[in-house]
Amino acid sequence: MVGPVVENLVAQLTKLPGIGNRTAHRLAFHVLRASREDALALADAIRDAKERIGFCTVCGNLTEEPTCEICRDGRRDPSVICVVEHPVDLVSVERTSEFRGRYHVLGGALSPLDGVDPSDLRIDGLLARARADEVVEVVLATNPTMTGEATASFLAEQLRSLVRVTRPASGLPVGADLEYADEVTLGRALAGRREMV
Amino acid sequence: MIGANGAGKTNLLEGVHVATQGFSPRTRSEARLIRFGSDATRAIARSHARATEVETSVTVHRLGPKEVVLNGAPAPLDDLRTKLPVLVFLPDRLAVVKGGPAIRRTYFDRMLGRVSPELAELPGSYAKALSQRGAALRRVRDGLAERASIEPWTETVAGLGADLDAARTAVTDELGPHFRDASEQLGLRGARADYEPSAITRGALEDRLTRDIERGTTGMGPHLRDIRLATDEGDLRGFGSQGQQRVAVLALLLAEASCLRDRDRPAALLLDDVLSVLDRDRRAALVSLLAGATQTLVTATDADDVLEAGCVVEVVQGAARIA
Repeated sequence: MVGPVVENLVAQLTKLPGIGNRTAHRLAFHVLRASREDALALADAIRDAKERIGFCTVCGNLTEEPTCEICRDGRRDPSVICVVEHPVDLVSVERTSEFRGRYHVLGGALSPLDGVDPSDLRIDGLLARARADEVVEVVLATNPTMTGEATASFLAEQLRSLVRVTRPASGLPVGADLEYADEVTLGRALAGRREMV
Repeated sequence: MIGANGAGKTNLLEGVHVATQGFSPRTRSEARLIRFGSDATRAIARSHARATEVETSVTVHRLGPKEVVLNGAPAPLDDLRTKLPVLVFLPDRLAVVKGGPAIRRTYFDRMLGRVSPELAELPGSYAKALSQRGAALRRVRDGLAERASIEPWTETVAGLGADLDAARTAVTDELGPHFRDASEQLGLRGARADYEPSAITRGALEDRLTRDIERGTTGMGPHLRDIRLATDEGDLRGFGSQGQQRVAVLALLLAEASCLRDRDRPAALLLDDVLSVLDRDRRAALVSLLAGATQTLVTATDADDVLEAGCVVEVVQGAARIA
């Protein structure tokens, strides 16, 4: 109906997370309606990002340089490493402004069903970093999903003899009513309750 | 709900189930709910759950996804079940007593989710962990990964497996006395539902690791256990008569209803053709079991004098009216 060129654009957009067929059509027609500059700016931005951004050789974060901004920042506490699955998780932790240490991005979580084994993640690099004298604590901030939990337990086993190993608490979302919390989250929050001081 | 054979009583019961639970208890292929030549079917129920009115509407399309509306707003399917708990008895559904262990595991795991909603996800999580461990075992067997990659899944399977064992033990323990009482009143003496846990631990799984790798599957755990339904005379699966098995299925449902009532979450009961399963004395016993419990919808071919129905609905050739 719209020809192979547009169809290809739609097909490429459908590959993005959260984009279904209808949204892909809307986006494709938006791009076609937009000015030539705007549309090509998007294409250039994608190409630029893909060509210039690589992984930090220390922590696996996204960077234009060999090492990322956080690894180069001397004000960051080198004694604590926060382990996350993906760069996007790092951004979430950064947004809290609660963490002043450094990061290690695994590049995923263990999932044999999807063919992801320990050798597919940046685990050797993490162990090497944890062996350095300055590191005293590793925070395992993998997702609270089954694969994230399994990854955390696998890492904890290997890290325990080297450093203090911690995991962020599971709990109630701030600003929401108790009645909206699911049973598992509420159960964990109760199990991890704290003294009021 | 009374009417001749084929008048549409079970259909009406099925409609109530679709409207309150969002799916048919009789068929998985939902297109069969739609009249020939039509594109969709809709079931609407106005109910009271305690003091609150609940209106539900479920539309099944021949093409496209099912629409669920709860009090005027689109809602996920699971919300119906928690808002309007309903238990259903169908006389031909003997598999839970007669069939293999897998059917009983599924039945009791679903019951677990209804009785203890906080554990509803547990059987599914365990199954997911089990398939991850199975994949890890096969990757090691095929030389694609190292043995250490199995460890986190051994730990996960052991943890969730022990939780599931404990949950099944707790639900059968809670159900047990109710099951015995209900069975006895319906003429089946000494009925029991016993679960023997699998004794799964991390250590036990590690001891059999080499065998598990060879077979590419986890060889112990709650996924291989059975819930034994028995009387003093023996296993109901092997020794029970068809009549006894029917009574056991009904008693299981009544026992679950009692558990839910104990937890202050009463469920409505839909009982299809239940009177034909029982002789006159047992029918009277069933009536006293149900008395004052919760709303119960019963289908029968004739108005039964032991059944003091609050409301009789006559079903004639697919049309229902209050008698």
